[in-house]
Amino acid sequence: MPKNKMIINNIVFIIVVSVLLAGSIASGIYLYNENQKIMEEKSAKGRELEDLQRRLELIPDLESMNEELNNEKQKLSSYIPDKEGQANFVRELEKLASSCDVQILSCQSKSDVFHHKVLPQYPVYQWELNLESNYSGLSQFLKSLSDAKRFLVVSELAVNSLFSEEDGKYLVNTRVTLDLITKQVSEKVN
Amino acid sequence: MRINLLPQEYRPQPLINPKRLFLMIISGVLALSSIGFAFFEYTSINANKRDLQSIKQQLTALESKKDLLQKAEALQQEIEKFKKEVKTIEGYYNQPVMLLDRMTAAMPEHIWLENLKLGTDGKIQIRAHTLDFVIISDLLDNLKKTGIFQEVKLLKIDEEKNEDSGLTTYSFEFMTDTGRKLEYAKK
Repeated sequence: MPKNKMIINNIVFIIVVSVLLAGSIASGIYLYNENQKIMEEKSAKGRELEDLQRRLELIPDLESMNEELNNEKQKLSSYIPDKEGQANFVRELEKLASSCDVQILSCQSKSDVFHHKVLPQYPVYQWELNLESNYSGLSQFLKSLSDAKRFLVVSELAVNSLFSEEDGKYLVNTRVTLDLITKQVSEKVN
Repeated sequence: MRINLLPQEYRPQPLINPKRLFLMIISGVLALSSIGFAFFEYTSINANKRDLQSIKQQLTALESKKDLLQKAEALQQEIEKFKKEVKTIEGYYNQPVMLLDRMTAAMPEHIWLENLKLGTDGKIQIRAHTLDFVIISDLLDNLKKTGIFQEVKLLKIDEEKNEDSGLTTYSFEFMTDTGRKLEYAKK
């Protein structure tokens, strides 16, 4: 065989082998990268599915759960409404006082609206009450405030004991400042 | 002795050049392994694509539940936040019922409360009467022991003599602090 032909043969052989090798390696790398992308997506979606299934397992009956939560939110919204609702408050107060045998001598709302330093989104309307009752009635009235339909808290209290000449019993005259807490509705941004 | 007189290029060549054979084997192995690798990746892609498709289908099937779940979770979070804020607000205030109950429990016999004042600063000022001077110190000790009333401070004691009955009573005033101070920010 002539020497030149042999050299050409070798060169052709090397080129063919190199092309084949390069092609197969390149396609291998390309497929590997593609596979990695799909595997990443698969594992992300798999995690999403697992997380969703786990969360769904925790709440077996979603619809009734949603209904319960909506009712609870409704209750909270009426417990802390977005406005003072004076008529309802006075009605509630009268009901509480009469159930505890407490006489409301006067009831006055303060004109200023206060806000708590840390939670300013809860405006506070203050009401000053002057009450007369016996001690147990007062105690019952103060206790019943925590069971009221509205969020009411005592911020100031002044109790004076009186001796009733009429029936010879001790009464208490109480001046209470009640804080009626409301919730400011955040303005919606369109 | 045999002497080959043919020039080098015309002399008979071995059937396969060992160098070329070695090169062929190496390149063959390399080509085969890279093709095998590519094939493995190709089949793996197909399998992963099928799995991904199935996961996506499951996710689509759960889509409506997912919306409901997200709503429930958001609502739950909102309610929890609301309750937490209510608790925080409650924490700012003194609990008068508890304070009065503890006060009453700490009070020895023969003490009559005349007036009590609880302010937004958490301070309580009390005026009371007693027949026995020593009882006052018992009351102060008892109040300190409750752990609720801080800095129980006696302000004054006045002796009062009733001319008609001849009884001597002591009127006294003291002050204590609950440590809970209400702070408003007027807007």
